[in-house]
Amino acid sequence: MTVNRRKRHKSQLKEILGRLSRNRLAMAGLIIILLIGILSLLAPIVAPYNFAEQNLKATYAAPSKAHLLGTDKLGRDIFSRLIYGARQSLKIGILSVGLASTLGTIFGSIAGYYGGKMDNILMRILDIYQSIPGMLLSIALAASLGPGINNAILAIGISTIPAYARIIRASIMTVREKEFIEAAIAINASDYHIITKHVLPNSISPLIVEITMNIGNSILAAATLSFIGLGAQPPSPEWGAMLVEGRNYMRDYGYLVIYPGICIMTSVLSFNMLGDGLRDALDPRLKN
Amino acid sequence: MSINNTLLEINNLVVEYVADRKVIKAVNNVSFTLNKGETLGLVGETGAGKTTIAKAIMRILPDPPAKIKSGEILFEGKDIMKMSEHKIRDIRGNSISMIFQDPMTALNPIMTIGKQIAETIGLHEKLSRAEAEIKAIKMLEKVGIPGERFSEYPHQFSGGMKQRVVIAMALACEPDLLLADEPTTALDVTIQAQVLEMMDKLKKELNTSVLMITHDLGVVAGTCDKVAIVYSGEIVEYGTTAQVFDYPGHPYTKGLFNSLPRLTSNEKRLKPIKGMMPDPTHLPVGCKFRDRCPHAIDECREERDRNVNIGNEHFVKCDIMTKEV
Repeated sequence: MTVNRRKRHKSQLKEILGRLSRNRLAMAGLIIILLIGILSLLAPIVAPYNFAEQNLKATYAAPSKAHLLGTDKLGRDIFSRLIYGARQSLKIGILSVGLASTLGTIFGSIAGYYGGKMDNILMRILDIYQSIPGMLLSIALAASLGPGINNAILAIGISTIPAYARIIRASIMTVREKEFIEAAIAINASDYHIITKHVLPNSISPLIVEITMNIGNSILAAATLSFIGLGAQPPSPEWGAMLVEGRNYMRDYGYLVIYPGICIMTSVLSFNMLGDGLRDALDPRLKN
Repeated sequence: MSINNTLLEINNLVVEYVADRKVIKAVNNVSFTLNKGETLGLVGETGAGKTTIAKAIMRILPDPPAKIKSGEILFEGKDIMKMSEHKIRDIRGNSISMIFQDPMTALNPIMTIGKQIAETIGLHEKLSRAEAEIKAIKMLEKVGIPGERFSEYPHQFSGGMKQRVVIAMALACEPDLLLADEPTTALDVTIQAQVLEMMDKLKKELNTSVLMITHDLGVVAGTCDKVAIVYSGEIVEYGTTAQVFDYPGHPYTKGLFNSLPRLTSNEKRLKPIKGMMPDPTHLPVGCKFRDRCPHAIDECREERDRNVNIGNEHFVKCDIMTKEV
């Protein structure tokens, strides 16, 4: 009996991945993200030059065989910098969103599941929190923590917690009223068990979409911090910072901003396509 | 009837809901007893307070807004209301379990049904995951679902099948008391019969007592040993199924039977009970049925104990009609 059952028993993760693999757009997104990820991991091997290597004889060089995507004002190879920059941008995007969504989920689920006084207290705190403009809060945090990528991650992460808390709270409140939650209470499951096994998996879909959208936003927020000198420090390459650096020369040397821009756009778009596909895959009810 | 045989005893239970500073009197002074292995039908209209009684027994009424004002619920002689949360957890799901009304929403849509049954078993018995899953498959097969469907999701089942899964979950830990909250209301008639038959079989196998909450008198006739007719949060008539069906004493019970179509006579029209249930925020003083009662007289406005034993533990909450009999 056990042997047979094992055969039949497909893990939930496998099923979700199976459903995801049938979604072409999501797969395209996933492949691009993986490609960017692999390129960034293999940066020292793949990139033709080091990101800090200057060639003052060939500044603002147009794309050619020697420099695939041209060079910047210090003659650094843009293609190489973009590959190294993927490391920074992906790191900032994923880690800051991971931090914010984890904390936001904890606050949001407590507020949404228990409701009443607990909800009121938590949400009012978040109200005050959100009344400070997000970018301003990030800047203030980054300024007090000091410049650097890790502090930028902390600053962006902390300032976006309330958005996640709200999303998860709203979606938990609708799931909380469902009869299967009542049934779980009636079979005597603990609150922790109910929240992690029944409530969260049923309310996580909107969060997944939000997370993927926000990875892009975080990359942009990090660029803003870099722009005012609080994010990535030169010479470390970061797509947003490269965009900002090239801004002054946009009219004459468009490729300085076009290529980092394309990188940001492609990665944000891929994350969005993957997120949408994941949402469909996570919810068997949407399956057709 | 010896005391030892009593599984559940409810005395003078009063439950109120508070919403927008209004007090909704959902359950007013309800008392009844349920013996081991017996099935009691709680019959009444929507909003009569049947489900509230069941949830009070499980102690899963949401508070706020629900408040148990007074009364006691004795399960195996111990008062559930006075138990610590720790103790009630031993009982909930283990000795008492509940079947919910709507099988469409009573299952977690993103968990396989097998896992959900195994979860129930795992929470109450110290079994390894594999053992719990094997037991879950056995439970599935008991309710007539092939074990191969263990790893399927709720949306892959029909309504009747889902209700079987819900029943399998409720019976997985072999409870002493099963609260069935309209288990067949969401099902069509042919499936109803199958599900009821299966419940009856399992009940006898496991010697479970059942509190069958329903508004379907046909279901009661088929499955229950005793019946309690609930109206506006009160039990207006209580007795064995035979007593209540053959000699209904309360005008409301009579009204219920009159509003059923009869196959033997060729009546063209049914006789519905006129009017609506009273607003639970402003319950009338005296008999709560008097506005709709064809036999109502001025005396019915008085507040007094109307419960009359018309013989052999057959109680009727009306002393006007029973006097005439």
